[in-house]
Amino acid sequence: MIVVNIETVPGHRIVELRGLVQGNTIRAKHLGRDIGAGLKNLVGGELRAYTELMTEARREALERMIEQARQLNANAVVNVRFTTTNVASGAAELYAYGTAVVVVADSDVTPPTG
Amino acid sequence: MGPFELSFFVLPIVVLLVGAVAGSVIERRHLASLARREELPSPILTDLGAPPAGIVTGDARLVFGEAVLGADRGKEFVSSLRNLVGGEVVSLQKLMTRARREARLRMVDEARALGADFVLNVRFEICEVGGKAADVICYGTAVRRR
Repeated sequence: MIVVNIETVPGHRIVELRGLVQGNTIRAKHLGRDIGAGLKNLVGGELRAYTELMTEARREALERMIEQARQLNANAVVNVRFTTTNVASGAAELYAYGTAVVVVADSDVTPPTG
Repeated sequence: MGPFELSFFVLPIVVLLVGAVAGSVIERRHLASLARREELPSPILTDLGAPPAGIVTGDARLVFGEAVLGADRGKEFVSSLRNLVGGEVVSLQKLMTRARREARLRMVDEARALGADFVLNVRFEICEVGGKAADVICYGTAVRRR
């Protein structure tokens, strides 16, 4: 599955539109993470546990979006966007959406004759 | 001075001072690390939504970088004072800038590993997971010149 956040896939041509696909996830930080972050908040610096939490959430949301695209028999998702919401303190929603399409490589397209 | 006064007046000040001093050391180190890594060869980044006409590209792939940086006690204290009088909160502005630079560098690392020449449509998204922290996701489409 080709996933991009631009409107076209370079080197490919979009031949079919399959529609909007989306995936989201809400992740809560667990207690251990929270205690570690509390200590880190004293001296500043990177809150690694939260960075990992964001990476996991992003992967999960993308994976769910890609699964939807697969079910629509698409082979690419274009114009992917992410938005985030702070649903409750300590939990973050990550929402990914994009347009599922079918693309073919430029080299596979028969050039117009004449 | 009894234990009551000690815990109520002295301890918070000690915590604030330790936080502020350690925080500024960590900040200086991070700024030096950012400056060093930004000197490395990097794909060209743009927020253009498509490769400019005339540049032929391929091998498109989404790349990401994330960073969550916490504010130290000193910054929290200064920003709460700033809330009383208004104006620019320089300490938190610096924190946000560092978080964006870090997220951007991590995205660049991923693009470089793919051998990308450009990263198109670069976006920054803020995601709040904790309290006083700067949470940044940077993403874009890495492409190679053909």
